[in-house]
Amino acid sequence: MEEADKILSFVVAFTLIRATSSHRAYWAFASAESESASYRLRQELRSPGGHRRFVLVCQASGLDMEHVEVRLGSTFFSFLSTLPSVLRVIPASGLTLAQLGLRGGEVYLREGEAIRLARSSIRRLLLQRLAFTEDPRLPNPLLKEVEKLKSHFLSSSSIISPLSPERNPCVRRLLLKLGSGGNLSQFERFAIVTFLLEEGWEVEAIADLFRRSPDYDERITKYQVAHISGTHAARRYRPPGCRKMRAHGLCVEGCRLRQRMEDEEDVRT
Amino acid sequence: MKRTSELDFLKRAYRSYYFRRVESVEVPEEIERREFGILSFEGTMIRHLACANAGELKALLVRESPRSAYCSVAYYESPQLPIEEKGLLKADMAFDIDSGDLELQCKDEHDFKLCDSCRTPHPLRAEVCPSCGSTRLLTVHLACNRCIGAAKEEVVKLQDFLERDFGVAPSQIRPYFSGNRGFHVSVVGSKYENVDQGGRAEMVDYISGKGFTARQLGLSPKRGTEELYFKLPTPEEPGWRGRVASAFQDATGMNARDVLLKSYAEDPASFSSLLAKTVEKLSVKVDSAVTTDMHRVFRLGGTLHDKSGLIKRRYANVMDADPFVDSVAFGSDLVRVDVAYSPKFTMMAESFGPFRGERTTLPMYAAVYLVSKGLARPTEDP
Repeated sequence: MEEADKILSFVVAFTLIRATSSHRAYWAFASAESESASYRLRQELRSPGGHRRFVLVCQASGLDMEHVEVRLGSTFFSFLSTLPSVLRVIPASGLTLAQLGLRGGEVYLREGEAIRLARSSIRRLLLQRLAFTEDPRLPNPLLKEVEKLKSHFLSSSSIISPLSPERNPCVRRLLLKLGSGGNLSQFERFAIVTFLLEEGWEVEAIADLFRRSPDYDERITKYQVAHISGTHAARRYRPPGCRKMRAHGLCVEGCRLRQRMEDEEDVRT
Repeated sequence: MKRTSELDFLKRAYRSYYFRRVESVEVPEEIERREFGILSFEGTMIRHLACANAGELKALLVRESPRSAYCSVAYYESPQLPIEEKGLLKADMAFDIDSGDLELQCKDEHDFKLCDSCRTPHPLRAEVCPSCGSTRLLTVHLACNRCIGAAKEEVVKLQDFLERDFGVAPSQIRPYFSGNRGFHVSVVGSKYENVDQGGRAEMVDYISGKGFTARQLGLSPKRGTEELYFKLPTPEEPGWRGRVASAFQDATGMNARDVLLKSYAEDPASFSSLLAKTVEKLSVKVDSAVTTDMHRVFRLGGTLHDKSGLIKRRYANVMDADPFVDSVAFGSDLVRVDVAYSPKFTMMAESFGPFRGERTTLPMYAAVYLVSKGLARPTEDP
């Protein structure tokens, strides 16, 4: 595809997704685009002038970024950002602050960390743009496409599409169960909600997923999801770790996270 | 539950304090953007109060002489409106360090339960009074100099994180004795005023060391010794890696990488445990709910703490804090009280107690302290 066509296809896709007014659609689109962007950014960093372009993309998405290339102790850092800027995007990046090189309100980043934050920042930007763009007025042929998209995002398969199956097969399995109308236990629901919050899903979108539950009550569901997100209780809950998932019988064979955990256990024993 | 005589005694004392010393109440920045709250002696909490200037705030305190007075950490467009309509602009950062959360060994010496019926003391684990069978047991938490000392150390650690890692200027950090068993730290005018709840939760997790494991040090069973060595941190590194490396180096006098590798290679399982203990020692124990909640109201500096009658007082240097002297609000006029129970305690460099079911005469400041704790009642004597 020509570069101009790529830009046009993005605009059309954005417009159609916006027209669905579906939080699930917004999320899927923003996740897919940011995932694709992070792949391309990784490629960019291998090409001449790529670091400069990487910095520009980050800054355009609202993430402060500077190319540095400095070794501190045993760690080589390629980029430098500011802590307030990182704090906006770290919750959905899969990173924790303790993993990063903080000093004087600045954050030293290795290449992989910078890419993850950039991905999170791009996703955040797209979600914001989708939320705040006016309703588009579309011609009838495109409205039919919008209806098809709406139906797709109401179906069970769409629930799990934003999630990488390799990354969290346990949560993926739970979402499939939820999507097919299964009755989940309290812990299973908690796992889904906290995981999706960590991924940057909004409260409304998560609450909407539970419509298929046999005991669904819209008001209670929204309240409980908001509570877990910290809106009411001022305490944010973290997703359960692999050990807890395993203790509840929810760990899935073949997961590479499980394999890593078992390796660490072998070391300890 | 406090009786009318106790409440009246405390009301008179508080009224006297605010009348005499309202000028020492701290006026927050951008006062017109802040929400205020007051707790009456009748137990009514009134929030969504706004004050246009310092004069209005002081008039409020003198008029109401509340049991507790609070100010929002947040700045609002319309602080007097309900929470969803206030219009949040920005918020200071607030940290609460309570010595009761530090699991100190002195706790057993001064924390206990008091039966509200027969006024006999019992250990903390009691659920029913063995003397009279009542289940109305009042939990009493006192603080000693060891508690205050331990809390001060947490404040010093917090200040280090704020300055070294978060880049907050020392002038923006305000430590206070909370008025009871610990310290509050406010961060005012920093670059973090617009950080949302999620971001604040991340900052609390950071100072708590959450998420830092052997993996972050570069340790992995799949790496050979030589490869491991060059992945290990040195004290010069930013963030937790540098902190942990410094801690191991300071503890042993050996080069950080050498001691980390040696400990890991000898026994990886024990090393994980040692690392966890090191992280715990370096981390700061704060109440995460306080820091995360941008709509929280925080006790106002210069006002009285209803659980002790002591003043929430700001310090330039927390190590200089001597709360049982500096935060004493009342004079030494003698007051006769009936004390149900109290272990020995010190105020104004003078020791009092222990007391058990006896009538005694105390300086006003000590009497207010014990009555606030529910341990004493003023006598009916004139």
